[in-house]
Amino acid sequence: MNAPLLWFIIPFFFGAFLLLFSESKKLSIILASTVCLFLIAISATVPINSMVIIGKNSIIFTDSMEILGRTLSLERATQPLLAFFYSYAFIWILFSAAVRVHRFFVPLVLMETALVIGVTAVSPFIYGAFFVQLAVLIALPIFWNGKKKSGEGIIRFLLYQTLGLIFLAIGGWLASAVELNPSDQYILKRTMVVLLVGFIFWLAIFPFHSWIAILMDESCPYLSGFVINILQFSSFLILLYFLKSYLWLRTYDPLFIGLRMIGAIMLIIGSLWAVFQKSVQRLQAFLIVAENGIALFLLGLHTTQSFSVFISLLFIRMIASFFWALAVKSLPENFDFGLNSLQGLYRSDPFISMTLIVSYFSTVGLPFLPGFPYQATFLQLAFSESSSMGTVLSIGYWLLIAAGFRLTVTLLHPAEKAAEKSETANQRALLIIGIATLFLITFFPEPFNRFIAQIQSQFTLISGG
Amino acid sequence: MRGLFVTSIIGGALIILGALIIFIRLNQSDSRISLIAYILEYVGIVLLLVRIFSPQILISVFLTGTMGAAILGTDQVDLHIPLKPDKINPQGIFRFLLGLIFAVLILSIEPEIAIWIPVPDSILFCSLFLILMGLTTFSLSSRLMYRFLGILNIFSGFQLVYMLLEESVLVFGFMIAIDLLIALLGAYFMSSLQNDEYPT
Repeated sequence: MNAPLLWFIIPFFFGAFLLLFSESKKLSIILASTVCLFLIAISATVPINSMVIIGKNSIIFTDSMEILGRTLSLERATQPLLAFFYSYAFIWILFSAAVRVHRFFVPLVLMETALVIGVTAVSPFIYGAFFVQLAVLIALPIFWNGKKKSGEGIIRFLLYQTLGLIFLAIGGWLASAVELNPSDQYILKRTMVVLLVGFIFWLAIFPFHSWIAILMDESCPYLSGFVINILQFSSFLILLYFLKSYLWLRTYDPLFIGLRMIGAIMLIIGSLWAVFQKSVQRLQAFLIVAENGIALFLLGLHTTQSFSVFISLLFIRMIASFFWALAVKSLPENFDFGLNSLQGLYRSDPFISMTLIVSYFSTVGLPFLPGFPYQATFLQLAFSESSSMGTVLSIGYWLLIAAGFRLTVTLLHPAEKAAEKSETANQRALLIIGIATLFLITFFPEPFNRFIAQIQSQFTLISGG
Repeated sequence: MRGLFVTSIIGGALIILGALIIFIRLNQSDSRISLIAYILEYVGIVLLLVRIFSPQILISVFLTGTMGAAILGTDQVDLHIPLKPDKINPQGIFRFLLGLIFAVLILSIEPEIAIWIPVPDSILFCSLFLILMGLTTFSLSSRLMYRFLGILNIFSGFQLVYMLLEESVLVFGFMIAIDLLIALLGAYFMSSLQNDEYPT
């Protein structure tokens, strides 16, 4: 037995196998949840590269396997990440019982999660880009089935992901060429540009950011919430692997200056757009763009503290986005995502409204919510970089807060006619769990911080400078 | 050496011809000729690579192209309607000239790129031409068929170069799988629309 087989190959094919049972939503949820729980339990209890004794038999639990001449390897240090991924998949699968989703959603979650584990496992890591592309391709039919508009966002998503793959794959090859001769500035600069263009497509960096808003606005919020979150996370993971793998990249100062500049531009553009959006899903999309900007700026600072904040915000965003997606999905089926239609929602659906507000501000970082200490540190770091940079980033940050207040005012608007109640008892219970979880992370941050420290320990080469 | 030169010339010519036909016939309702042109591109790719890769690999590449065209055309091809040659029109002439301008443009920048991507010039030229024509086809088209032919062209262009850079079987398998999945996705999207015409 080996780790990649257990956490990547088996769940992927099990997900594919579950497609056969997708007619029965309950059965597929039970089977997929069981697999996730089993994998979480193994990742939490059985160390990789150890001997497992069952009665008189023993199994050597190794960390790698060979496929077609390439190695898939999951080290012991990745186990917290594996546990997180399958816990994340588990909550999406379990909570999908309370909302109306496509029948292939549950198998898809399992397959996509397995593919993200594949990104972590494959060596050389750049092949992970192909796993990401496969994850996109298997998700798109479900996007298309549930589309509410023309499908333009879906096609753009496919194009940009394909272009991103092309640039990253070529960039990955060039990066290994630079490794042989890092003093060759000619190749080095071109490699940087190629890699940058690849990430521009994948991380919805300006000017190629429109796809994320169009895609989220026209597709099922629960589906787009999961797929976009997991893909954005994979993109950051590949970026981290690039930084971890190449010394010349970690020591190339213009890269970090560039990351800070791009981050600032993305925060300003994302937050500015967020203020003027008329749809909740587009608001969330531009929040992702702005948060990607904050993440890139923090990576660009290249210090232990900034890296810790970067990782923490990434995970908080993933958790908060889940509850956002659940809340939006709990709205009536024919809801058009328009902010105008949400006026006074608090009176008919208080828990949906509360969850939308709490999850938005959890990411943006309002006091008493999980993102606050990290966003405050981010602003502090921005001002320590330079006062002008701090001012620019603060403006972006305050615009994000303003967009959140606009959402809050809309939800609490004293509408003349209250809308019909749409949240069910089950949904209400799950939304309460969501709000409680976000507050728990704020008031009892120890387990979260311990987890972040474990993840961070894998990337000491980057965070250590 | 002379044989290599000849196959490269013929291969390159077929790729250019195939990409130009797809681009010139942009948004035409009968897509059979465009699908044949797409297969023609793959014949060109096989000829370009004939002296570099084993016959097994070349057959896999050719089959990927052929099957991609077959999958994409499954719902679109009506064999009862006779195939008619297109009439020359100003749009077609403009697109043909635009394609030629692109070819000249790539010819001028290709030596610069060849310094850092060490693949034969003919292959790099064809790869860049496919990517650029694919992007243009995608951008200017309002029909799903041509948008997907554009994406497939972009990916074929990348595949052509990347096959030479990374000789891993795993990567080759991935590229074939992605190519076919894109074609399958195109066929699926088109089959769910009554009319292939895509509202933009």
